[in-house]
Amino acid sequence: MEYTIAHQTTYYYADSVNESYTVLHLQPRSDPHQFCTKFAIDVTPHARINSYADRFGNDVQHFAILPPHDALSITTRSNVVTMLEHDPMPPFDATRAMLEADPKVERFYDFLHESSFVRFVDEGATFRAEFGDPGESLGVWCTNVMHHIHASFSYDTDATTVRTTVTEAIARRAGVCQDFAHIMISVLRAAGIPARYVSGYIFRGESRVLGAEASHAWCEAYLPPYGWVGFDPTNDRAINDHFVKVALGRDYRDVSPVRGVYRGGRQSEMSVNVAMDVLAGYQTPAPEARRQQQPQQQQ
Amino acid sequence: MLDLQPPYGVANHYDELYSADGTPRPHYEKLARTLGRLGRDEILARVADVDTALLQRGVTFTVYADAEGTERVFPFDIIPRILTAEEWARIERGIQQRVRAVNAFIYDVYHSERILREKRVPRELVYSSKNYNREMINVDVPHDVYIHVSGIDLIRDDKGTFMVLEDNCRTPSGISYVLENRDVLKRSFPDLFADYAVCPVDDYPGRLLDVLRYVAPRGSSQPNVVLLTPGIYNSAYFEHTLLARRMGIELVEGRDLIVVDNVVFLKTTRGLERVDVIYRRIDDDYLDPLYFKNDSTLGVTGLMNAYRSGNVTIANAIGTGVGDDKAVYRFVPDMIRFYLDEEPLLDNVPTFDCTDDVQRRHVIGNLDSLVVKNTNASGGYGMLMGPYAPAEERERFKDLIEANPRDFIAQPVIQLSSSPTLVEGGMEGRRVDLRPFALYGRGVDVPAAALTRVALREGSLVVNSSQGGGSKDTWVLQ
Amino acid sequence: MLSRVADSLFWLGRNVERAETIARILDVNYTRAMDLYSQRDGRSEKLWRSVMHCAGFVSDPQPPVTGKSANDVFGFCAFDAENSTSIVSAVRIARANALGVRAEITTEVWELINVLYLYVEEQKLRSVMREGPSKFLRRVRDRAQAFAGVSDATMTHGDGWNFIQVGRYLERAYMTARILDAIDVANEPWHESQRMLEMCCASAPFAHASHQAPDPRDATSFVVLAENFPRSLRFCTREIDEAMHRVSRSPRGTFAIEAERRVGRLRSQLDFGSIEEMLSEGVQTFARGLVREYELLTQDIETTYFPRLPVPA
Repeated sequence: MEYTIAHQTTYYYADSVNESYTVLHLQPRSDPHQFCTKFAIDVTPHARINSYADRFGNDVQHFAILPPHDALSITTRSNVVTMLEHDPMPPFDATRAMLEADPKVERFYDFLHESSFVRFVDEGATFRAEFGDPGESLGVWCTNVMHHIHASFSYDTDATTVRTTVTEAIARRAGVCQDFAHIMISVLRAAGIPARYVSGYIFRGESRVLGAEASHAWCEAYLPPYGWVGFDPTNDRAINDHFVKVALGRDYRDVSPVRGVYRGGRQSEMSVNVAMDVLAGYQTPAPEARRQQQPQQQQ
Repeated sequence: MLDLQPPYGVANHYDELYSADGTPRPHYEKLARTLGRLGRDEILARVADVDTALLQRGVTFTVYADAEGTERVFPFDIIPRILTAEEWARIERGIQQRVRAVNAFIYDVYHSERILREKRVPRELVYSSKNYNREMINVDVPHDVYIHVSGIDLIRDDKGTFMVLEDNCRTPSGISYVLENRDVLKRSFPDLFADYAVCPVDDYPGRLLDVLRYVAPRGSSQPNVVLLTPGIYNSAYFEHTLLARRMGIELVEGRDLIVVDNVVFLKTTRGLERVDVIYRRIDDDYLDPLYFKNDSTLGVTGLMNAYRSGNVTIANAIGTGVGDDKAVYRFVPDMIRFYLDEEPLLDNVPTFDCTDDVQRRHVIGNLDSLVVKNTNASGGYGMLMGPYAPAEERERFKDLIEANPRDFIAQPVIQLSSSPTLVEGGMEGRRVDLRPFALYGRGVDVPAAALTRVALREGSLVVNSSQGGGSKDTWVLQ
Repeated sequence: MLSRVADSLFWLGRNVERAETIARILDVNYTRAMDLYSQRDGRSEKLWRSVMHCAGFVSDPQPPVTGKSANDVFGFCAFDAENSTSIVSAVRIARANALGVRAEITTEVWELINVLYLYVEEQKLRSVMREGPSKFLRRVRDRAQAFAGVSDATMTHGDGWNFIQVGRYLERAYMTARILDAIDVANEPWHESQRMLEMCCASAPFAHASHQAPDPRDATSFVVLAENFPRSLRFCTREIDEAMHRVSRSPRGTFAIEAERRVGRLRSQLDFGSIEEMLSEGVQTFARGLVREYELLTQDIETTYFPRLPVPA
């Protein structure tokens, strides 16, 4: 499939701000399963964009706007070709023994331990007990964890914010894709399975999927012999060519699409628009572009 | 007369002035004679003048007991601590070796991780260090130098052998006391210097500036070096002002700097002026709110990006704390063997690893004879002196260690050497340590400007200024 | 020079000058209150009210003076840390500014300020009043005046020193204008003129220049226009103008920034205007106009040299 994605984030400040510095994780990755053929950024007020590759291999852009301004708008346009035409087979052959024998695992310290949003709290332990012991068959167990999270949590955009911790989301049994990904990551890491956070987009197509209004998030588990395997607990499905991967990290904090620091007025409002259209490869009736707007909290 | 004979009691530890049989060591003889000649009253009168001079100069540090912090004069003991040229030469070589190895280790853990791959240092230990800074992974720094300035704390055991107690590779302070102590002592007790050839200390700022200019980003022929301070409420602010003045560089706060297109500038009355090297005296966490503590107002937004793109040098480099983590400390001798293929010239103090079950059990069972240190704290905070601590304090540490073994190490109590110190009623032995400073540019330079800290409380083994310590002028003989 | 440093040096200069002026005003009036103004006819209250006025309580609601003793006013002007223009506040602000630019000033300047600070912090109202405030005020004035000499003699006369100069003379002119505003000579022309001259440190210089008892108009004219008297408005304004031109390096008689334009206008008014014109609407109107001008000048200097917002290259 080939997509074109327009992602617009706008901040409105009640009082004008200045010296605002912004870091972006918005450029789709290129890897064996997808290829980013075009990426362009437009920032208003005008700013010069600089970039670097972070330690996860994400391409990071950043810019600064020094003079006073009362709004900031960032628009990215990307074209991405995804190549996983069929849903991958469930990773049912992955075993604990294979994981333990894998020499790469010792380098995944960060994906096996707590991070800013992923905490091994007591409430989490009670919750984790619901999944039972992973046993030998890690692939099956991970898939069950995904099913269970999907079944026992409700998708509710009002229940949580970008700062919600795993504990709070578990207590409410509700959240959005970011929370579900964090919860699944915490369950996997606590069970000794390397797990990382993925931010990206999901194509809505003709069916109802959750998280398609804005950036989406899911998680990946390291399951030899497959390597990194994606799970989308929000939609209870494997990762196929409807998913576009933007950035990888320990959790949301490493890959938040837009984060920044500025001087001046505290109050702000933010709006996000994501439009994801198919350019090629989609056979069913032509999809309409989805444009929705929802207010979100400033990160 | 100052009470010089008979000598103050020398117990089962090394004394700097008296040898075990109670006779003064040769290099202290003349000093002892001069002090005796001056007499108690004269000395006390001059000491009073010294204290007034230090207060008026503002040679103070800040104690964070109340909200604003109180300025105190760092107590200065006028009896110098003397090191012979031979002693110093050994220290100098040992420190050069150690600093080179730790620097190589820091480079390695942020690049190819050779020492981890070869399992000489456990990965877990490095990755779990609170000061292992992940933003530094694969970031290159000029000449691969990370620890431009370090302070290595040395103590003498009961045989008089120097050992390394801890490494300070982040923003070690104390050099201002070295400079001021010498200045004040020369003015108030010129007589003491008469019989000695002492190495000067006042070339330190110039040597530091040399290092800072050397590590400037490529292409800056006249590098603009600044000293970044957290501001007037910082405990070491006096030192920052002194160094900036002596080096003739700007003393700046975070709000004086701005990053434009990955380049750091000073905000001046004539507009923006480019900065090439920042000698920072602010901790990593506060350097850039965009990447580290995001509520910090001390740092410079965007600095990490300017640094990453090689447009500015930060000294010390970001992330050096992984090298002076107290749990990493016990691997430094291995680093020396691994990176330099040499045997360590300075020994470590034996250290127990609390993450190891057997060692932890030993530590918990012997808290009354051990010193326990928090691996991330400094300045004598978060520490248990087992033999002297009340039982409930030991219990508290037991729980702390069980809960977070990675955060603690334990060491046997080392009887620091004592040095003659002016106290009420005369002269007595008080325990001292030694902090030489190492400057790393073209090579490792160890100026003969070391800080001697002294535990002014009788019998105390803790020399930190926050814990009732003072300082002495330290003489390295030519 | 760093904007922050320039800012601090400017306020260092101002606050040392302020401590000196407040000390002088208190000294003059405390002495006066002992004889002439001690009678119970409201003159004492008038005297202390004018002191409060000079010390900066124009816009704030006037703190009641009636029923308060000289001690209260004295305590308020000298030792009240809540009062930002008290001696203790001015010295603290000066010292905090000096500390922030410790690397830019010489050891001599720093020690002078630090010793002044340590001395003032040590003093208590009660003991100062017990032994008579003159000694305390004298010490403060000595140290503050020594600051001018020591900074001139030890600092490089570059931008930093010039910002101290601008601060010092701006504060001096500002306080002279306030003293003019505070004193109403209508009822007792001779005594009040004499008091005004003493508060401006101008009693002997005026006598020397005019060979006469103070006539109100002549006294005012002296404090405003005396060419070589270092506290006259004309002298101070000229010094501000010169120091600002040394910083901006723009030729004399021209302006590069708004602040230079304002001070230049003021300077030519004082250089070429007549006292009759100036006082045509009364001394108070004239003095208040000047107070306002000096306030605006401060704002202009801040906008240009210590901007709150960055000015990207």
